Amino acid sequence: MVLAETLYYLSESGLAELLDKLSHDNRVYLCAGEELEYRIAPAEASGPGPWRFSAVRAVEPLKSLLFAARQDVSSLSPVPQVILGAKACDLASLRIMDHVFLGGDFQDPDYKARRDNLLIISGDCTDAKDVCFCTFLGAKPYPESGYDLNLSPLSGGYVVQVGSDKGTGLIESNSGLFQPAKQDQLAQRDKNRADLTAKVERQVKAGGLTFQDRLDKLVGRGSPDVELWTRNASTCVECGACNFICPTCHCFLLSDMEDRSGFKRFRNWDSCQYKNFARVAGGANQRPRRAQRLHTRFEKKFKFFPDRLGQIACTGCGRCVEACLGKIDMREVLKELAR
Amino acid sequence: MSKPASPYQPIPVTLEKVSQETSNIKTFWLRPAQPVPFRTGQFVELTVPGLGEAPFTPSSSPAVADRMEITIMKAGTVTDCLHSLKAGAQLGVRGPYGKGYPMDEFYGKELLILGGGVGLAPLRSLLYQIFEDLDKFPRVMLLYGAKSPTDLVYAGQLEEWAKRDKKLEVLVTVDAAANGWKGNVGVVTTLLRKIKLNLAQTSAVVCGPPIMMKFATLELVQTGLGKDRIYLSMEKNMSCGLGKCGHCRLGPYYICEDGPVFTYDKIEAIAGLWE
Ligand SMILES: Cc1cc2nc3c(=O)[nH]c(=O)nc-3n(C[C@H](O)[C@H](O)[C@H](O)COP(=O)(O)OP(=O)(O)OC[C@H]3O[C@@H](n4cnc5c(N)ncnc54)[C@H](O)[C@@H]3O)c2cc1C
Ligand code: SF4
Ligand code: SF4
Ligand code: FES
Repeated sequence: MVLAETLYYLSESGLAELLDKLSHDNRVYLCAGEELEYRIAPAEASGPGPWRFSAVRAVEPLKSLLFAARQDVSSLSPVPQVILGAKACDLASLRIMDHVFLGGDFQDPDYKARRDNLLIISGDCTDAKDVCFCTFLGAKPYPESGYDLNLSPLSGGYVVQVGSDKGTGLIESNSGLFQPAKQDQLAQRDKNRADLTAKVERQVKAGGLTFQDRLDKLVGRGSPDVELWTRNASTCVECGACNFICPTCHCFLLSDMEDRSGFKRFRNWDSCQYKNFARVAGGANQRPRRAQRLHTRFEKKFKFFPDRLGQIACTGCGRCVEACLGKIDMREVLKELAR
Repeated sequence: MSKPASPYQPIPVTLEKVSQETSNIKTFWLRPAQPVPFRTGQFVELTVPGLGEAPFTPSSSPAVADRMEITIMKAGTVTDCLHSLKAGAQLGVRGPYGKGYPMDEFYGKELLILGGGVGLAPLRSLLYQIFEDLDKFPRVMLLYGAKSPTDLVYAGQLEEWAKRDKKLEVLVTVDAAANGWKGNVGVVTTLLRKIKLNLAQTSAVVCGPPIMMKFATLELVQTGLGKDRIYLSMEKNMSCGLGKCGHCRLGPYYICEDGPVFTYDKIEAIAGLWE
């Protein structure tokens, strides 16, 4: 049984001890580093604890631990991994990734092995980047599901919430480190959460994301060739950064090669913004123009996935806004659509 | 031998024979290391080891699982290499994928089959299936067109089928006649004028190059055939065939998973449908 509502308190030194233990048989990754420019990096690189995990999501998406940029599909490498400090938007992205790679008639064995071997210790956001807009998409800046344990930072320690059987197991086998959470600690957590949610909401509102229209309707409306898409896509240099940095972009291309050890097949990240993504032999192309390709990215996120899965495939993490060389801003395009 | 653990990995197949259909189309006779049962209209990914793979619909009878024929037009990297191979070559195959033709919806209907060029390949497999249950069809019309008489695939079989059964009408046309051609001249849709359709009882199956599919579909709609009675084999770029890689998306569908056959009413509004 999942003790979803079971709450504990864990001190900073207790967390350091827990991770130290976990690092014996797991590869432990931290979201940590410089102010607001956090990275997902092996815990060893962060030196001895106690440290605090990142205030906001990392630069790289969580998918990088589960869906490698280039993966030999014949070799499974299910190293047990722990991620500490994943944020609510990261967890939301895993619902999309799980649907893609574990759903349907076929499962991706590499993804499955990595997913089964990933322990997620997530954390509340304690700050927001100026590109964050999760609350606009109905999300909260703190995890509500999808984690094994979630940590809400307080001064000197964390309120711990259990989200899975794996999480329960972890608490049981380290019971000395966890105390029952006190009322005032919970009250502090709830206040921190409410304060930060209000901050993100203010930021979203100040940025003009105030409309209530259904995004699937907006994106589904009109043709991919209308002026809005053409103008917004005009600065796209087809680098693919928006896709590669996006936690929910999952498209890939299989490629074959031969080396001394035999024939190999790789699963490589691909980008729908590349001109040849939809090209077929003979040269026909469903989306030869950049406007059509920008539209397809929005359609996939705001219409295709809601239709299939009932979930938007954008978490509001703002990574693509930061990464785009053409300065194409998802938020601005959405605003224009609503106009 | 058991199936490979990864759905991305093919099982080995031996190329047993190659037959030339036209100057740029060949039929490849394959023997998989283990049977690959498929339903007509489903497709497979055929691997040239070390080079790559591409999707094809078997053109052989679904009643045969330990052999498979695939008819392939030379069109790019993988198909060029396939065309250079001789009997004995080792290839790989994975699949079958997709839903194939909904035979249950066809039974009892007067079936109008429109093919263009190498598009007759999947339709031949459908015909073999129809021959298995011919008693379930009041009438079957095959309308096939190619560029020129030398571009007709299965030329010998076309003549055989024309004589096979009264229920079966076979009409062939070419865009441009050559010396000695006594048959029809004109695009495949011109053959529609040569048959009398019982619209209320008819379903149409169309497979061919995009331009042919487009005009055939528009003409059938104009004739009064319901959009939900026009079955189209859609073709878009594919990589995985498994509903994961995102390449084959057509509006709300993945062609590999939800298709490759769709009725026109389901897809008519999608931008870039015929491109
Ligand atoms: C469901 C389905 C069934 C098909 N059945 C047949 C058939 O029976 N006979 C036949 O001759 N052709 C068939 N095709 C078309 C055939 O797949 C392409 O001609 C082939 O992929 C070209 O590969 P290439 O490497 O030679 O070309 P390149 O242009 O070098 O293509 C490189 C890669 O892009 C992808 N690609 C390119 N064109 C297509 C395309 N049209 N459709 C899907 N992926 C593509 C493939 O992965 C291919 O390996 C079918 C396509 C689909 C989608
Ligand atoms: S589309 Fe942009 S904002 Fe949305 S999840 Fe992807 S990277 Fe984040
Ligand atoms: S990041 Fe910007 S420039 Fe690069 S492919 Fe995406 S939209 Fe185009
Ligand atoms: S071919 Fe990969 S999703 Fe259809």
